[in-house]
Amino acid sequence: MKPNYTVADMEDQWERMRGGDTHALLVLYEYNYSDLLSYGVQLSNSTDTAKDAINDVFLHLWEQHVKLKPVKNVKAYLFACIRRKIFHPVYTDKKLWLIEEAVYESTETSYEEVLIAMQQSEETRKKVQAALEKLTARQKELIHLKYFKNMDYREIELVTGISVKTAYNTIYNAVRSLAEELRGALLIIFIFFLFFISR
Amino acid sequence: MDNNALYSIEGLLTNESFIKYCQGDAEEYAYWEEQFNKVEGLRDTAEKAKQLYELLKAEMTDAAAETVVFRNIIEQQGAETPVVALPAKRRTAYWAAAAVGLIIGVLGVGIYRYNSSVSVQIAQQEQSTGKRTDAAPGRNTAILTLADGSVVSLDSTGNGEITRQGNAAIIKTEDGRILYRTDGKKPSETLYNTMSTPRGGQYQLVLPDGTKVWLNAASSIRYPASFPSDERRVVITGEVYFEVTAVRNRAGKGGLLPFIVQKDNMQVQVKGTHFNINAYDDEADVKVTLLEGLVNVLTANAATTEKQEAVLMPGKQARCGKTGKIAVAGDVDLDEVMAWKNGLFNFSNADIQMIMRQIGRWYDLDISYEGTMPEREFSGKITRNTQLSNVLKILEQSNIHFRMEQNRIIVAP
Repeated sequence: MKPNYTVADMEDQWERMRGGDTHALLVLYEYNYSDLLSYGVQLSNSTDTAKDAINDVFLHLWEQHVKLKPVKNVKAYLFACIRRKIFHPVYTDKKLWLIEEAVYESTETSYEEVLIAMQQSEETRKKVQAALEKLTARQKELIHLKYFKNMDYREIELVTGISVKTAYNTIYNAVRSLAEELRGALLIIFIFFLFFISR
Repeated sequence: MDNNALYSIEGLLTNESFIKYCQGDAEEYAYWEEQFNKVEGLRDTAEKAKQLYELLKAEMTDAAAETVVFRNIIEQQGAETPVVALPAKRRTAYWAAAAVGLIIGVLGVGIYRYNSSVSVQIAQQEQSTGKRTDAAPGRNTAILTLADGSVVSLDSTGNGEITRQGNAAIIKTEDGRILYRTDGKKPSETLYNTMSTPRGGQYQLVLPDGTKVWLNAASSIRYPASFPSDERRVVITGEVYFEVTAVRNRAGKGGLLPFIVQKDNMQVQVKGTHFNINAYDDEADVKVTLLEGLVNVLTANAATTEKQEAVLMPGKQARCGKTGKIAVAGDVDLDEVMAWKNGLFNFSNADIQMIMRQIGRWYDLDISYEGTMPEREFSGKITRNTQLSNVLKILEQSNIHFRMEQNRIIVAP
């Protein structure tokens, strides 16, 4: 469904955003959102933290759009911004945001390291998607109601007519299958997570 | 339940208490911290369970919906030019204004010719009511045709339940909208209703699934009084703005129930989004403009049955020609497209014919031309809730002349 933006297309949107085009800002936001969110969750282990980081970064970029410089790889730059926002939320020097290299330096990661992190993050996301794809439609629906809509089993019964016991068993089996599929990926994230928190 | 089953990832992620812990509940946090210290290896498993929980939540997050939220944030912060003049909050005000008969403000028309532009600013003043040579603006009026062919005229009906049909009660609200209240039982048969506005009319309707529909003048929508469980399909003419409610598909697939808008050989498929369709037969193209979300536009050539498809992103417009050819335009002025719903005429670089078509529909008048019309483009905004003479006065500033003969305006250079 999503159009495929090349690195050059994104650079084009970036340039438009620098010129004050709100639409370009929103295109960059929407197009990169899911990958950035997954990355943010892998770094912070919290969807809320990751969402806030994305909004803070884009708000900041928009406030500063007049002063922004061209960047060579918009996506990598955004990844680095999210990483910085999550690990160094108290950075107050606004100027640092404006230059691509400075963002990389301030997170003590090189451009190449960010590219690798991007790749790993996207692989993890693909694994999650693939694991979700293996679930049945009913499992997916119940997982959605349970974890995304925050419903308890009673509410699920009211909404879907699926009994508490059946919903419980369905979700139990779904999670077991997801955990099985993602065993390796979760372990990797876990190690990453400890590593970054400790530095 | 023994500890092995409880303290597995699947055991934790089906436990209400642990899920609350994941959601950040303080009491549960204290409880689980205690458990982590007591049970060996539990902290590791819990970390992985929470990771899985968060990854799933992230994956189920809809980027398009988050983008809408973000757009509202930057608009509230006074961003320079909002991409979309979000009508939602202003809606009530506009419809109220339409009822009271206020003229909204100061309007300007720029006249562009040979690259030189002359801009004329005209201060609109409150107008006294209609002269003989004038026409009143359109109002909220429509006709509802029920499945059995009976007709309800909606401007004369009182409020409350107008009629019942199958398992649905049809209700007219105090502010004049129509909505359907179903008793939740499966309907035994599909009953189709048609809501249509005349020239000089507009109306708002809430479909049985909660989808909001605005009909411009000389437009119609045909829809079932209760949607079937596999898809929601409506047929339109004229110009209609939709705010489609996302409805989860209970029929089996677990995704979102498709909402399909059909006009002749073109259809627009959506799941939950805001978009406008301008499908007047006297306009060259059918124009589908997306404000939020994502839509699929499909056409089929009536003769060759050749199909075309386009996916629209917000801010884009699909223009579907009579042969089914789709062109997607990215440089759309959304304020202009949505002006009718916001109670305005809004033209940018429009020719006189296009302007007169809109005037004809809104003031319920036929249009004819005398002599050769100069090739000019007009830009400007004016409230739709004003006497015709006020609109014509502005156009006359650019040496176009108008004469009224009964239900006809004659346009001359």
